[in-house]
Amino acid sequence: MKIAVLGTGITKFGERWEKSLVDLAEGAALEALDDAKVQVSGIEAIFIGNMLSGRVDNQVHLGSLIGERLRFNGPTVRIEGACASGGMATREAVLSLLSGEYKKVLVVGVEKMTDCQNSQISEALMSAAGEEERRAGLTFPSLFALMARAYMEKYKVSEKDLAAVAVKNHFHASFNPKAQFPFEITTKQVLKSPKITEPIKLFDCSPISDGAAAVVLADKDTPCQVAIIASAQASDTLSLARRRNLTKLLSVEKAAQKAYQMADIGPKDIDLAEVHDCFTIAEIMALEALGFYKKGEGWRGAVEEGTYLGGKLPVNTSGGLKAFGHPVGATGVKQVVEIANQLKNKAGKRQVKGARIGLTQNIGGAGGTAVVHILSND
Amino acid sequence: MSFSVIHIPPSGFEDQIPYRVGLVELKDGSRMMGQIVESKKLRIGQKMKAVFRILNLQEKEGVIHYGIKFKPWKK
Repeated sequence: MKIAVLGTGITKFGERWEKSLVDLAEGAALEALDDAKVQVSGIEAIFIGNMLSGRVDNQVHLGSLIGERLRFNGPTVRIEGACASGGMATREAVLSLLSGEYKKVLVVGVEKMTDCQNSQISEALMSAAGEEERRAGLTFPSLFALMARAYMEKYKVSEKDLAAVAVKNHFHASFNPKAQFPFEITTKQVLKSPKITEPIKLFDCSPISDGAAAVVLADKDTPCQVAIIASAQASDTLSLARRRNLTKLLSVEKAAQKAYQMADIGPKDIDLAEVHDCFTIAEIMALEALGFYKKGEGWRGAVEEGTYLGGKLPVNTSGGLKAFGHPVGATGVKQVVEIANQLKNKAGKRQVKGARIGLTQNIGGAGGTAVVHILSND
Repeated sequence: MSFSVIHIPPSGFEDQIPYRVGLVELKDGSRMMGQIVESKKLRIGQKMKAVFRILNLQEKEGVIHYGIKFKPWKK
């Protein structure tokens, strides 16, 4: 496939109390349209990724709301898959273009999370997990804590090894003015941060954020500098209790295999990646599931600096979810924005030199859904 | 199979922190998520016993929720 990425747009992520959900969506959308040199009238459909607007803002029907703001009368679709909503919205847009039904579409990922109390947003995020897990008093971070404990025991990995992921992603974000936390942190700060759910501490977790990201996509007949050359999605069980192996992200493995096959490449052909580091352990497990590191060796990425800017395979040059922010529905689209800009040589201080092929990996819940995209500037 | 100690709770569990949760493999091979009680130290592979306990008392309709929790199995 060859889906043109004509333009990208993204708001600053963080506590955006002065902006409503639709303000953020509009901001990112208009920036993407401007970047693509396309008017709203040139768009044939809008695909929206969002998870929590119903619970947090008591607002669903986002398609109509965003269409109203953009003065758009075409079809609008809201797509939900927990934290994979953005990646899924991108994928649905890709499929719509492949079907031949449209030639040019807009994807917007948007989330407002910081206007709530912690307990409210915590409860909302647990709607991405199973009922049994909620009744047992689990929290979303504790699902990853269970995976982290099992991984650390199996592969003899320490909390310090996990902390390296957070330190790396903050280092990258320090070059990114739109990041929620555009500053570095130290390993010591991560290890001393308050315990959330052992072994996960505050600085192992991505933050609660507001933000939006958007891309304008077009069909293969549209000339472009950067294109999506593969799009794949896979599922795993919702509940951890129904999984065979707590130390693997099966949905990511399956989606990645499919994507590599579609693009006719392998992990070693990828120059850079944006992966879903909702928690430090998630990046480590993702690197293994994507085939970049052998099982039990994903922790080497940050520790040995292979996944740093300037390393063999820079991962999360945007700052990842940890340092750039994680407005859940926006993240999947933000990953595509970052890779597209890297491939267009527009990443400024965090540019990966000579980047030709990039990968995005977005998951929902504790890995119940995974979406992988591969982009190229060839 | 794995466990964690929760310090930041969901609503309804504030009075219980810190509390332990775990994924336990049952005799028939199936697995279940549950709170772990009456334990000081936990390790992966430790044998557990299922017990019937109050899950939490903060219930709007005055109904007390009971359910399965686990405790370390001593001979």
